[in-house]
Amino acid sequence: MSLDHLIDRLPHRAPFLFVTEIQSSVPGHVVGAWTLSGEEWFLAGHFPGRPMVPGVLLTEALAQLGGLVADPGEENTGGMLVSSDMRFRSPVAPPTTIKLEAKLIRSMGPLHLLEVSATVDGTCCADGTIGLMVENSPEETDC
Amino acid sequence: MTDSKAENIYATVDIVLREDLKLGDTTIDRNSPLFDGALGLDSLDALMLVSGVEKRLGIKLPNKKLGKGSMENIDAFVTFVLDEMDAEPTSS
Repeated sequence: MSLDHLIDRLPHRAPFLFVTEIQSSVPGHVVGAWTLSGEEWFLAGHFPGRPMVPGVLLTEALAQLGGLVADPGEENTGGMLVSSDMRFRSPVAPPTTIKLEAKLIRSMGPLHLLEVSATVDGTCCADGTIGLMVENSPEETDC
Repeated sequence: MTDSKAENIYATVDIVLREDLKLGDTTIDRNSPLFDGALGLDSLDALMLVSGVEKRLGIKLPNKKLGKGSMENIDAFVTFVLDEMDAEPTSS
């Protein structure tokens, strides 16, 4: 059964919605994907004749996925990215499908720390930790 | 025994502050307020401090007991962590 309907919970929309597939979702851990055709608007300039997915957009894609972890409710506000500590380990060139993974480390009130990673064909291209602030966080739990 | 446990927690907190929160060579006074004084931590720093200590010590600190009292300064936080470890020595 497809879980892609979960993407609709995010407030993001094209051309700034980068999660294109949800592969699995359990409390505190969501796996998804971002498929790029090579025709995306930002690739025309990054870089002409040598398209490469910008690291900031990899981080954004992971933050969007993380929003589904931090705020699993129906009325998702997407949260706000408040910190990122990322490493970019290999360039990503389109067309490709990037596997995205976000795992909750800990929450305190509206703040959530998540471990995130992006991989292509089993090779890690980016990983790190991000912080999200979600206004309508679920009831406090000792995750 | 308790003193060495406390010193281990102090050392862990020091590492988290300097490495995870990137305070580097900042002078860290155990009695200084965590949030309003020289350290000037914010709520995200607090989350990172708690998370870093939990990860390094293999413990879980209850959110309900975390607050201004237990995180007033480093001394108070270390005492809180020590009490939690003594109350549930097998937590992980």
